[in-house]
Amino acid sequence: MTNIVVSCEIALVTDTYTPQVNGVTTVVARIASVLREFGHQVAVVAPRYPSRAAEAPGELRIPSAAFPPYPAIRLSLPQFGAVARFLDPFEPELVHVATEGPLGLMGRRYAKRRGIPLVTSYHTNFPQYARHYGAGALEPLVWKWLRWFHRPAVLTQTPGEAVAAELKSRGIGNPIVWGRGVDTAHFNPGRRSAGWRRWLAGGDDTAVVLHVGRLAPEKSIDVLMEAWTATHEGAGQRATFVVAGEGPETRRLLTQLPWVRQLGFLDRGKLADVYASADICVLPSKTETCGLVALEAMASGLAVVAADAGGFRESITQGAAASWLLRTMRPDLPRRYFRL
Amino acid sequence: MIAPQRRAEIATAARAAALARDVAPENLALLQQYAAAAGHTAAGAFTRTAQPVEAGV
Repeated sequence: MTNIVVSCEIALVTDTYTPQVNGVTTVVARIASVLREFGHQVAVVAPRYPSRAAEAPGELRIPSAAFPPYPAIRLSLPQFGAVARFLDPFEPELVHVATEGPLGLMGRRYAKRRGIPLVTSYHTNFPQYARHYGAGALEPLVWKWLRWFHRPAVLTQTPGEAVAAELKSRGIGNPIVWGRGVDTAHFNPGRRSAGWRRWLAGGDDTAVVLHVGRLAPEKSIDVLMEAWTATHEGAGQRATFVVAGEGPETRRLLTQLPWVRQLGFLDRGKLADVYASADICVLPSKTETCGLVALEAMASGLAVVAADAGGFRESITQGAAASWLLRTMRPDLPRRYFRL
Repeated sequence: MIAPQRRAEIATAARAAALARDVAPENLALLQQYAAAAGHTAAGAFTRTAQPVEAGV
């Protein structure tokens, strides 16, 4: 094989990054890792968080403040000068803007001003989020903003065909699917641990029912709570319920369902252990653009019960032996569990 | 509780479905998209030898 050594410089700009845990940080960290693995140079512009003051090599961290309506989200002030001073000596051949926030705007502006090709990502279903937060009337404005934001991009990456088709129909950018895939070496059934199972369920005779994700209204936490309540009433001690994640709905969920074990956000290693040590993963969100969480669960050997919507439709093959897409999760869930 | 035999069948089926969506081909697709976006026309410009470098090299 010809050894063509071409090292390229790529700037990644994101409004959320490690050590925060969410789908976007996972994907951006993954892109940086892949690029470095293939010998390319990467510069990352991201928020600085109170829990992590230090910058890693190749990073510009810009101080962030909590976003008042949703304090877990921290946004940086748009500092174009700082971004330009950091990126100019790096001379990027490509700028990839992963988010549509203030830093994303700075990345977009930098690429436009320097005449550098811009790639954007569309990860988050903001128009649907607007509906969930009682601001459905703003949806047309959100689409307008997205059209404007992504217009200069050579490519706008989306995680699936359905999202790409929607962006196209809305006149947004040049959507292209990047499916991301799942790290099947990391997420694998071999990580199943007797220790985790004992801790979560007490032993092998109890099914561990798992939900992974942010506990927020747009993730259909109401649906999860109703489904789990019905299942808990029917299953008694035969099932235990575990959440890996947290968010604004955490307190309400734990108050109303005190028998749920909440683990908070886990690092990737522990998350893989928990997946493999569970039995069923329940994912009710209808706003997922990707559905990577379903693939991680499947790679770990779990049955997956997911909403028949968004990215899950592309992660899960309806009718496959170990996964179900449910249009209405509430009445179906207990029956589905115990036919297993 | 899920019967052990049924649990094993589920794990096998789920794993097989996930393997069809492994990261390796997606990583190459990412690099190819970058190459297209950056205007690199030389084959392998971003994907190089299509083989990752050794860690630390």
